[in-house]
Parts: sequence; C-alpha cells; structure tokens
Amino acid sequence: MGIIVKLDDRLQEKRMTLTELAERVDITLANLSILKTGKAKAIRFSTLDAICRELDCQPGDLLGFSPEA
Amino acid sequence: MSEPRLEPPGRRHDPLLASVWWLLTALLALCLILGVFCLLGYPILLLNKAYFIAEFAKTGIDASAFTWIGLLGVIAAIELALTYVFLRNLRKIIDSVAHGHPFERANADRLRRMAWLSVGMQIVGIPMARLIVWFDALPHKPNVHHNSAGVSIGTILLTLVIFVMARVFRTGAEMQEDLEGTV
Repeated sequence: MGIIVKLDDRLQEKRMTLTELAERVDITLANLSILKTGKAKAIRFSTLDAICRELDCQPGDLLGFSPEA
Repeated sequence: MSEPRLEPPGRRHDPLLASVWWLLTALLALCLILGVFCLLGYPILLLNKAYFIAEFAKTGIDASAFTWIGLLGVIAAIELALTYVFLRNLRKIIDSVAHGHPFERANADRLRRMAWLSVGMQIVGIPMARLIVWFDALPHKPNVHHNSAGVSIGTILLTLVIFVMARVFRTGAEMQEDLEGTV
C-alpha cells in the first residue's frame, strides 16, 4: 500500500512523545504505535480528528502517498 | 492467534457452550471406543473362526458372511475415524467461540475440513449401507433395522451448509482482521 504515515515527523516538530499524544487523544499507545509504524489497515475519522486537533495540523500533514511505498 | 486450549469453556457464563463441549467430548470418547472395538473385533472373530462358522451354519448363514462382517468392521472404523476428526474440529470451534474469537481463519479452515470430512463420511457410508442392508437380510438377525447409513438429502444439505459457513467465517475473519488493524 502506498500510504505513508508521517506522524513521527509531526511529533518531532511539536516536540511531543507518542505516549503524551496517546494520553491527550485518549487512544492506546499500542494503537498509536501501529499507526506510526504504518501497520494500520484503516484510520477512523474520529482518530484523525483527535490527532489533528492535538498536533494542530491537517490530515494531509499526517498522511502521504508514494507509489513505491 | 494462538490455538484455543482444549478445556471446557466458562460454563458459568455460557451453559449452552459447555453442554455442547461435554457432549462432543463424550461422542469423541464413544468414537474411540467403537473404533477400537471395530478394529479389534475382526481379529477376535478370526481367532475363533471355526466356532463362529459353526454357529453361522446352525442359523443358516453362509460362511462368506465372515468376510463381509470383517469388511463392515473396517468400513465402520474408517467412518468412525472421519467422525472423530469431524467432532474434534467442531470442539475446537466451540473452544474458540467460548474464548471470544470465533471469526478467525483457523475456524474457516476447520469448517472447510469438516465439510470435506462430511463428504468422505457419506462416500464411506454408501458401501456401509449396502452391507447393513445385507446384514438386515440375514436369517436370525437381531430384530432391529438400520437405515441411518448412506447418503440422504439431509446430510447433503448439511454438507453444503458447512461449505457455505466456511466461506462466511473466512469473510468474517477478514473483517475481524480489518477491524483489528483500524485505529
């Protein structure tokens, strides 16, 4: 699948840890880790909404597409 | 996903599942006992061949009946072995349901295996039914009629339902995997 998750980049920009984000968006660390490592098969709008709200970004800042990926 | 353990499901939570589990366990034991009986029966008959042939002659049964009885024992043992594997697969499905993981690929595979086992049981049942008909026609037979062996519309329908259920479970397993990969 060519979808790339750029959550790590955004977290570095915001100087926030994954654990901290997990607490703020009320999603388990395990699930966020799955998302960060690109192992997730799907993402709920509610999850995307919560992450964008906390990281102050657009969905496009978190997700990208690369045909080679 | 790990293989469900072979132990009774939480009976306090679901008495129906527990009842089925114990019933299947009892049937598995019965299959084993009958299977051993079928396999050991013929050698025992062979050891006392002269006696049994004499007894057959007294009741007007041909000596060739000896061979047919042996064949019936072997076919019955095969039928019981297939039934045993069928029931074991069913019990594993019950285990997975009791543990809250019914929609897994292993269950779809088990159901597909059970459907093929059911086909096998019906095929094996054909010669067995013929032999039972012959057995019923013997003089001085016990006053019972056996007509459960062989192919019937009900068993064909059951087999088809199991094949369909295998597909349903495979789709269910795929949906479950998708759900587990959703964050």
